[in-house]
Amino acid sequence: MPDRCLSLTLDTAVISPQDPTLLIGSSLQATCSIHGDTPGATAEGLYWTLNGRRLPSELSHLLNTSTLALALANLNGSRQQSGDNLVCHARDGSILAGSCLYVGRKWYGQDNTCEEYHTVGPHSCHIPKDLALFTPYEIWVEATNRLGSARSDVLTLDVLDVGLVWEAAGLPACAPCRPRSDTAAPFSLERPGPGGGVCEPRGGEPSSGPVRRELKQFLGWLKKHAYCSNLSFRLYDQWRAWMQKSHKTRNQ
Amino acid sequence: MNRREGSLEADSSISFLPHLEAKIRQTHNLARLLTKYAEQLLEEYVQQQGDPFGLPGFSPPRLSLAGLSGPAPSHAGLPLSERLRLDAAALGALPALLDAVRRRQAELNPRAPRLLRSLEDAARQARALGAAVETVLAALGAAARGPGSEPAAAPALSTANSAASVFSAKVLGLHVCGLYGEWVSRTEGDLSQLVPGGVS
Repeated sequence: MPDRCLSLTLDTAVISPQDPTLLIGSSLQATCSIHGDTPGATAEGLYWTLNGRRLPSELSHLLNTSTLALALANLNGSRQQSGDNLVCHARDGSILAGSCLYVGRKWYGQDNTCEEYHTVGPHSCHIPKDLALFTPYEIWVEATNRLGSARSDVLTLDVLDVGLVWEAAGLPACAPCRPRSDTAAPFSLERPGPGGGVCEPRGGEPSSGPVRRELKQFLGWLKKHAYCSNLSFRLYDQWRAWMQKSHKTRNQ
Repeated sequence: MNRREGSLEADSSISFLPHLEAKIRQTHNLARLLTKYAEQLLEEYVQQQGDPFGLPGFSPPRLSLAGLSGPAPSHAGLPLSERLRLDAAALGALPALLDAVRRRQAELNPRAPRLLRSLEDAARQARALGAAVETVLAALGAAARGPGSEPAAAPALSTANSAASVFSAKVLGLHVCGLYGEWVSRTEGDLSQLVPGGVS
């Protein structure tokens, strides 16, 4: 008995490019071409939708009798991790072909190596400036000696995640931080809300927590450069314990 | 029970063996439960693929899945034993398809653990329901496969599947999830005709 196969018959037309990866703010030129062996088929009347929304007709034009072109500018970031659904439709609305767009963030820089290895103690790395907010950083350690090299796991973090989770979780009744006007902060904290206030933890269990050297540095920076009263490692530990409990509850 | 070939409708003049009756009820209840799960799976699936999946009126081309299609319109007119055989065969073919969809979704939606778990559960549940239907058929003296027929081969996965476009993969997964729902629902309906005293 012959193998039975999963097969697809979405082959009336094809979109090019297929499943491109693009930067936020970039442009896309795409085409929907009807296969030559489709009897009576023409690109006349075809139209595009993106994530289910019909695109304005002025964004597309006929390249030839069998191809409809599309020009999109200043793309927004993808709405879902599986990609935005760009679909080519026949005049009657039926789906002829699709392509998924992956529109993501720009890589803000190249790899940087640490410049301050001893500022906060032996085997440490101090990053005193040029940290960007709302940006995921990947941090890892590479060690080399005469016998060989080793590389640590990659730690991914956003320096603003701590403040965001605190506020989103509502765990402490805490006013958000704002920069001191008398310090030259390398960047500004764009958190709305009233200034001042006291962070009152709502209870929780202390947590053993992961290595926290970078967070300690960040907390130190916050105390120096922003108005955040009552920030402490104890508060952070309580937040971590609460997050772990919440995560377990969600996964049950 | 009327034991003529192909005729399995419950006959009030024959009392089912208690364990067989219990097994039929249990299998029917399982099918009913899985019908609800299949609806939830479909909702979860379309949500993760993004619009237009899940929008009212979304109607991608019906894809051809060699080896498995939905219940035919003529299904309801078949003898009950034949319907249950077809149900069991479809349920036996679905796990491999659901697994393939799960693997692809693990690439497309790696941060959708609930969807991935639901697909994994659906494969396991389809397998369990298919086995239960076959057990019922065997207990009733109506084998899952008639004499002379070869075992149905589970649909094999095309090696080109992983290279298929993302949109096509999304549509294919939608189709498989839809088939899963259609067949568990069909199985529930067919089994309801076997439940002594009717379905509560």
